[in-house]
Amino acid sequence: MEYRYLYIDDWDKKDIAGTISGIEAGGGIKIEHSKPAGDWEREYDRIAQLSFQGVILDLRLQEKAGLDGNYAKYSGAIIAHAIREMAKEKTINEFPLVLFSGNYNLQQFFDKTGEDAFDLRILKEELNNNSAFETLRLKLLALARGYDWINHLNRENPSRAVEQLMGFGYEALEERFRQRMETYINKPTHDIAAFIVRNLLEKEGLLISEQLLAARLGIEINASNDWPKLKLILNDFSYKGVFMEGWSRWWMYNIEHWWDEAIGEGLRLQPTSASKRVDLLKGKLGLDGLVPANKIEKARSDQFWIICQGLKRPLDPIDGLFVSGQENAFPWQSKQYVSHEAAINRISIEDWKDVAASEKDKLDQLKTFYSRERIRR
Amino acid sequence: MDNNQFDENVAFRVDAGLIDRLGRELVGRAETAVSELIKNAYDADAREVSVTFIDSDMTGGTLFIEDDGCGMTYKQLIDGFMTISSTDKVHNPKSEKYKRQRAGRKGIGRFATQRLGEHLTIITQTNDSGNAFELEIDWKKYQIDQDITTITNSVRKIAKQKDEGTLLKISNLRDPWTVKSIERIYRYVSDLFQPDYLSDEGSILQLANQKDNTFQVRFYRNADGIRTVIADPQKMIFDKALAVIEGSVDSDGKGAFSVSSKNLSIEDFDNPIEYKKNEPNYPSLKRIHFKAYYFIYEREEYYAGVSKLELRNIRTLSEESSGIRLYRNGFRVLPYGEPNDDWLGLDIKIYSGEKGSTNIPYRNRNFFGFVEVLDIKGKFFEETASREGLLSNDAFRELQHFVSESLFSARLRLREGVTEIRKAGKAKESSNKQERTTVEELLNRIETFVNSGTLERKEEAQNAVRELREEVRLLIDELGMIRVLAALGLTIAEFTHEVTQYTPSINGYIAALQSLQQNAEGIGLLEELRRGFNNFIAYTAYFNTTISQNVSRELQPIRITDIVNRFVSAIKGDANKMGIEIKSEFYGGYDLFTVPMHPSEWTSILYNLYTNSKKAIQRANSKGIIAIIAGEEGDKIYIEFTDNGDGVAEEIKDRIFNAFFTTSLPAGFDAPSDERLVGTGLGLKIVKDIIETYGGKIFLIPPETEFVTCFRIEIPKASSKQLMEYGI
Amino acid sequence: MNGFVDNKKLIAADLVKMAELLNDCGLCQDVGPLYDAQGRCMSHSTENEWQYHFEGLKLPIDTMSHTKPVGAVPFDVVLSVELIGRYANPADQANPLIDLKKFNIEVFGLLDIEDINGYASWHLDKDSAGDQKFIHPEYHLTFGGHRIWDKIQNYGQVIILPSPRIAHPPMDAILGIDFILKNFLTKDKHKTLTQNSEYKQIIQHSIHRLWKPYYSFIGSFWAGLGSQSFSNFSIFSIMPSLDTDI
Repeated sequence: MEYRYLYIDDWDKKDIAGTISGIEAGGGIKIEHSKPAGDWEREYDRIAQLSFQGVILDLRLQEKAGLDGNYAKYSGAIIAHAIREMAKEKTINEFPLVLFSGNYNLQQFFDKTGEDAFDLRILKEELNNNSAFETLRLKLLALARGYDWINHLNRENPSRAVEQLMGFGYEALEERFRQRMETYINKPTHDIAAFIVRNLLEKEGLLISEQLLAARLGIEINASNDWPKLKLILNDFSYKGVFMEGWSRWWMYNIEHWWDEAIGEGLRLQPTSASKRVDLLKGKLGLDGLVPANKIEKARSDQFWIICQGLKRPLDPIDGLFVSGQENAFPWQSKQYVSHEAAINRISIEDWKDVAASEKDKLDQLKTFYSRERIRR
Repeated sequence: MDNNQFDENVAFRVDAGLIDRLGRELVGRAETAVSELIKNAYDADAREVSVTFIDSDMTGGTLFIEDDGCGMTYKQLIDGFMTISSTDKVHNPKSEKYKRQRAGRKGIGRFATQRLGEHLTIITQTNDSGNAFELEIDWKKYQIDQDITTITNSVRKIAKQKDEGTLLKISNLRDPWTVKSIERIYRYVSDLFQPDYLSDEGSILQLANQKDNTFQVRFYRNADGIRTVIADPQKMIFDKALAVIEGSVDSDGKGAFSVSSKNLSIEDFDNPIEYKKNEPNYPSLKRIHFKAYYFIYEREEYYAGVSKLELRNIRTLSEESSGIRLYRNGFRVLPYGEPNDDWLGLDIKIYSGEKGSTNIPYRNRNFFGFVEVLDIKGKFFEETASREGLLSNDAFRELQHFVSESLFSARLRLREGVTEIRKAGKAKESSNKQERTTVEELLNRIETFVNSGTLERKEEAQNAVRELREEVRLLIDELGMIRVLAALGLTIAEFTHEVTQYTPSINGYIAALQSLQQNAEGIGLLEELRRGFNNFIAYTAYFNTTISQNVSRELQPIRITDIVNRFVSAIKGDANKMGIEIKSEFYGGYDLFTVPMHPSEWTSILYNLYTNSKKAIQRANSKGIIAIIAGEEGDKIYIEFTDNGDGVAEEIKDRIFNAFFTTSLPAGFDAPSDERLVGTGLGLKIVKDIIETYGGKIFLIPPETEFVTCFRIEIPKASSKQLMEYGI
Repeated sequence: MNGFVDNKKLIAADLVKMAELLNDCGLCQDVGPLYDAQGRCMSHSTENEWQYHFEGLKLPIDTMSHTKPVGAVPFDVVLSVELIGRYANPADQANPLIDLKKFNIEVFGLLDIEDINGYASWHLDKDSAGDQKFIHPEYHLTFGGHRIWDKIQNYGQVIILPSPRIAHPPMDAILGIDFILKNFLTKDKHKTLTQNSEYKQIIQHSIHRLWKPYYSFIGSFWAGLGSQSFSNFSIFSIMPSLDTDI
């Protein structure tokens, strides 16, 4: 079936038609554009009568005139907030809200306030190739479908509900996560959705992304022809819970179990070197096209377990510095590190901002240790 | 003894076991024992003492202490050495030959030998005598429950070994003596004597001085028949100190200190220290001197001629040998200045946490120093019985006050000096700007004329006015062009902003087309279209960020690594399209901050240099490489922009920075507009102007191999004060 | 511990508690491994034995004087543990561990020399007595870790031997963390945590579970077994040096 999204943007349809085409190209999503109402009262009434499965909002709605000829004095964030309020009061249904914004700084503002009514926030400039559009399409699909599912979820038995949402055996779920999820079962759908998307899908931890999966198996994706085949073998362990269409994830618990049972020959995954990991995988699975990942500059260990936030490549935490701002992370979430190389050279610093205060001393030591003498050639 | 025996006259008897106790308990440490024996040699007017440890890695070794002092006669041996707690030293407070102030007041030095080893042999001879005496003592014989007077030791006359002097041979040493432990006593002993005169009084009183009337102590170690000399590194550190702090209290109790440092440009003499507000002079403390050599470790840049390694070695040494030591009448008093001692409260005081004082670490470990106390009559200071410390009387407490106050006052001065040093490159007034100087000069000349009104001045002034007018005309021309460009800049800001709004839509169309396209050729073309479009976007996004930075007119210290990284990632697409490889390298530290500048100015600088390099490479028709190399040298940050284009001809090298100079041929009327714009001839001039405004320089230097042209920019480093101001 | 039947839940709870305490006092940024251990403890333990494993718990380390080479800077000390144990049983002071697959303490740091990293490691081992060439206390601590040659290429002047194997009571993750904190941090740094009553309680649990049987058994060499049962223990395996009757 097709999911219908309303896209509210003050720009004219002809100017954003391309974006819509790009998203719709894969099918499954239909986007209808509308300018903001202009007058807030009218906007509010309009919202109350929406019959879409999702709403996409542009952040800035004040640049061009709205439907009634007036310039909207409200932003996309205000509309989102109103929608959530109405949903809480059960005036309207629950559906996903997506933010489009062209300004990086404004996005950061949302990060800080924590007041976030959106399930997804997209920077327009990130939509610069067809895979970006495809990814977005899948997420929109996943959100619309997922919201529907959650809306119809039987919430009487919280543990059963959690199991259904996760598509995963209850007992096997990490205890703290389980308990926390259960407390959300009786909250509004958008709160449940937000919790799952932000804390389970968008953060590595119980579920891991493809990139982290490859790192933990010691594999260099780009160089490994048989990576797709390996993923197929691991399909049983992929995430099949709510929103699965939009996020390719795997249960770390299962991956580890599978390794212990079928591959490791007594060797645990984490303390094994990447080359050994790949050797075992090739041997046991008969896949020749697997290549071990390489260490980042200055790293000493190839027992890769995390991804360097600066270079986006596999790293052993022992070779990394703890990134700042993780005090509020949940215990089941995998912590973020930045490699020594990326830390001292500030590579992609916008992505990790700073190392934790307790690591600053080490960073200074590293800078002294690696300071380089210029030799003129 | 028979219970029925009865004597009417009884005398005290001494249990022989007392010898053992006196030896072991009074002379606590083995090092103290050795130094006592050396003091004896000193008191005997020796000039050279050699101390040799033989096979002493484990217990049971042998120690030889040989001196060339006056030796002992038989009588002296009996009355002096063999009499416990003799008053000889009290009778003769000065040594005979050199009138040295006696050490070892308590006179139990002989028991030091017992503390050190089980067996002692003394061979001693005086100048006058015809033979030497050899005395052997087996300390094991001195057991408890024996009357000391019943134990005898053998004395023999033997042939003279030398003119005069004493040799002590202590065997069956009770302690192991490794190289490390010997080095330790060597350090102790070497500074038992003042390294230098501190005061005239010191020299009048003929306190120990290495220069003349020498007293030299050498330590040797014999292992497996091989003898090695132990060197003393301490002498080699004093000269390298960052600063020297000295002070004294005179006979009236008036105290003053001075601090000097060549590196920090401090010469501050005679600063008074007051004891109390209404009592400036010290009541009990008189005639003391101190001198302290101060080091800051890990900062070899503060020093001249001290390498990082030397400084690190000194720091290692400081773990055992630093601190402010106390000398009384020329001899060391323990434990003041020992590694765990803090008699001046230096280590405690740092916890008061004054802001900014961490630039001046002030712990015992940062000092190698001594306090000299001249207390001949023993009036003010008194050693405790175990020879470890002075009694804490008024004089001692005032001494602590004086020295610590002097040091802490000196610290303030040092802090100033260090802060000055840390200010790297105060942005000098752009006296580099030639126009301004010229204009200034000219105006000055005119003003002189106006003020003086003389005829000679008049002609000068007229010439000046003429030159000025010419100068102004040139400036107006330049200004005109700059205004044009500035207006353009503003338009570009609007342009780039609009562009980013349209981007997603265009990308969306491309994506939609790509998903529809089955034809291989079509797919290829679309991918080209997509890539080309994204290069275009990367460019504009870069400028977009730069422009939005212009919203704030604030200057800030610029981190060169970030600026260069961002630039490279923005223009990589464009460079690759032209087949140009672009790379960056950084050297020196990882925190390369320039003085506060405007971030967008760097965009102009880098972009300008880039376009020049691009054109040069196009002209040279080569496989282009551009490298941006940044680092630090001294108090400057440097950035080298280098390419392998067609180079800058020798004859135009000094004109390229001039206004309106350009090698670009005038664009034809149908040339694309960007070509017309780019060859304005103002690019490098603007770049130079920007750089010089901040006290920097730009010039050509010989390139490294594989490159042809190299522009080098030097900008002053941000000072630590500036970094703190901007919260970095 | 008294009156409770030892079970995997208690052990897992202690691991989590330790994780929380370490995190709260700021001594450990990433307590993930302990949570991993807890999960594994719950899922892999049976009613007869408990087990868990984790890798790479990073703890802080203070610089200390007399470190050689001069200028070496330690960054982190890392604990990795894998073991299988028996539940505490008042009726039988059995050998507390069935298998100690891994107990590694590793120190990572920088040397003063460019481009060469510094490393040191110790490990706790459990070996059966068997017929060993060199003396082998059943539970022993050795300098040098598993596959140290993977981590070190340049030995300077140091020779690393598998001997001596120094007898040491068995340790689990809890005792291992305590060992590290007290050996590698100054008292000032760790006392807030180590004086914490909850912390002390966890330590107590592990001491009861692991050290009580061990030390009681050794004591029995002189005091006699009495009515106490000590299964899976052999005195000359635990303390080969006591074997003076050759």
